[in-house]
Amino acid sequence: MQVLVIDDDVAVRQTIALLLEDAGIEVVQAADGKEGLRAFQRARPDLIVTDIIMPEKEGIQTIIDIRKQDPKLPIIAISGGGRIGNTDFLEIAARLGASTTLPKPFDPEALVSLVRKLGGEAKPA
Amino acid sequence: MGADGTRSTQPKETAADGLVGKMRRLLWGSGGKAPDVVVAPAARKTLAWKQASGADADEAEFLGQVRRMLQQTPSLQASRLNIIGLKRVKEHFGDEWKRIADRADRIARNVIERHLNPGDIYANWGVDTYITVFARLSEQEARVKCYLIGNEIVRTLLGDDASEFLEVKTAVSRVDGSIDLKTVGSLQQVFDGAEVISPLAPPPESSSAPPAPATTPRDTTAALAAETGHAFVPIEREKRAAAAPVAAGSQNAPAVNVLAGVDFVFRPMWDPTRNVIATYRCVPQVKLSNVNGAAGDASLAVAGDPEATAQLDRTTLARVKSDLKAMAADGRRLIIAMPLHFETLCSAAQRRRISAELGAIAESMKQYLVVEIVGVPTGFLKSRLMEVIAPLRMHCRAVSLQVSIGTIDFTQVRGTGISAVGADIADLAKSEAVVMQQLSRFQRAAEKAEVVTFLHGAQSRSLAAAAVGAGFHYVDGDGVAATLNRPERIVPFQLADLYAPR
Repeated sequence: MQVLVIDDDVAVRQTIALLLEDAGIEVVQAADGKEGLRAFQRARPDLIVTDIIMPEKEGIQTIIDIRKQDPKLPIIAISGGGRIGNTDFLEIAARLGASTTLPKPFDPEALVSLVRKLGGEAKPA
Repeated sequence: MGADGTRSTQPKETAADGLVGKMRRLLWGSGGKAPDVVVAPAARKTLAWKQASGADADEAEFLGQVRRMLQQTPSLQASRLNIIGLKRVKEHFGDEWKRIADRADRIARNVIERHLNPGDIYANWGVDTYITVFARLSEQEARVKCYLIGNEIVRTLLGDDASEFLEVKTAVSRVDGSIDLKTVGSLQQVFDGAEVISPLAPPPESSSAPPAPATTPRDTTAALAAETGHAFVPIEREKRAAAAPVAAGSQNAPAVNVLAGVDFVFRPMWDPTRNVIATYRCVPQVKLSNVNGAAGDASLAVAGDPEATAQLDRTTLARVKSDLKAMAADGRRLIIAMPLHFETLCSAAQRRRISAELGAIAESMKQYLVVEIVGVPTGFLKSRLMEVIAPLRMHCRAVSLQVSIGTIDFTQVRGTGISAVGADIADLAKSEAVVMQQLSRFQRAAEKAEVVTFLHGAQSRSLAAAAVGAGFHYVDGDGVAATLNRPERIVPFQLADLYAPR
């Protein structure tokens, strides 16, 4: 399984990448939505994990754009912080195309199991 | 021109660097701690000062250094060096000066830097003297500009009627080779024979033509436009008078013709915590004749010209009053945010005039007006701020302050009666990643000072989302909603609307 991780925070992105790689999952990384869309078109991953607040193209718009090209691809939206609460951003992300959401900070195991679950469901046996 | 007929051009920054080096060496010697000489880079006037010399200048030594500098820099004529002196300001403050000197210095630098164009340089001598060289202006224009900058500095520090504290001098070479400083006495004196330029006004038709010899102000401005691609407009005296009637008591002051074409749009300001657009920011604009249909920020078009800036503010106020009146008549209940320049409000006469105008607004409609003070210099004095906003507060719902997005300390705002602080990022030449970091820092600092925040110019969804995520209370810009010709109505606007197809 190959996962595309999109997050402008390099520390968060690499932590997620290490976490998934340790679980035997191949990872492609992108630093923002624009780069993420290019990586999506190039790598055609089995699942995407994307942050919401990012420069150039933020996560929700990225999800909307990916959905136009692939309505079934599992997408996990992650976000943290914000006065109006990350629930709001994640709620909108879910409404506009994310398969599921995970507020930051999250339990690493929870992310890995979510990726396995959604990625496994998406991948034909 | 070069031997092969091509124009031989020395790279501007290289030439400037050479001059900077000479200024540094000659004015401050090769050893010890020298203050930085600042050059406005070709692309943008992003500048960095590090320290001042911290010592008072000795004029004889200063003149000697200037003379040596000029001797070693034949291309630099003495008359191109203009000096802004704050010694009288310093004397006015007396012992208090020690406490505020650093802040006054920051204010002075901030004002100067805002008016630098590519290739311009300035330096400080001590903590109260600033030397300017404007690369592309004629001697007269440079004196005008220097005087206006100096005037803005002392008005910011001391308020109205402060011109008596301003010292502007031009270096002159004597026959014997010595250097003297000629005092520029008044604005009238400065303007004798000089024309006004406006950095954002429409360019002349021949903007692609080669530069003409800069023998007269009109020729000079045309040449400047051709050389730089910037638009400079010489204003004939009679046209200037007709186009821009100036404030009483300053009939000889300059006014810029850009106000003849001023127009207003209203920018919807989104309140993400209440999921609504109920505030509209009035934005004065001027049409740019060189770009079809495009409009530029009128504030920039009048920058450096206090009278034109004051006139723009009065025009803006007149428009907002008319909108409030219309709202009262048709029952619309919206909030209008109106920009007024700090520079204008520093003048007691202008403050009285604006306060009187605000006072004439129907009491029932004052609660729908927010005054946003713009053009506030970095390091502003709390006492000045309080003086400026006092006459405004009784006539409006709230007074807000627009500052630089780089501001990370709002302790000066506390207790002044300012309700909100914000910034305009529309023209920031920085990556979104950098701006987003600044948004977070700005918001954190504002939270410490317990003030509401607003952000203008979020030009993309990503910036708007970042501002909301950072905690800004009001966000506007193309990333949220387009401008309107008038404040329309209260619009429910939720986070999901940010992603609606446009």
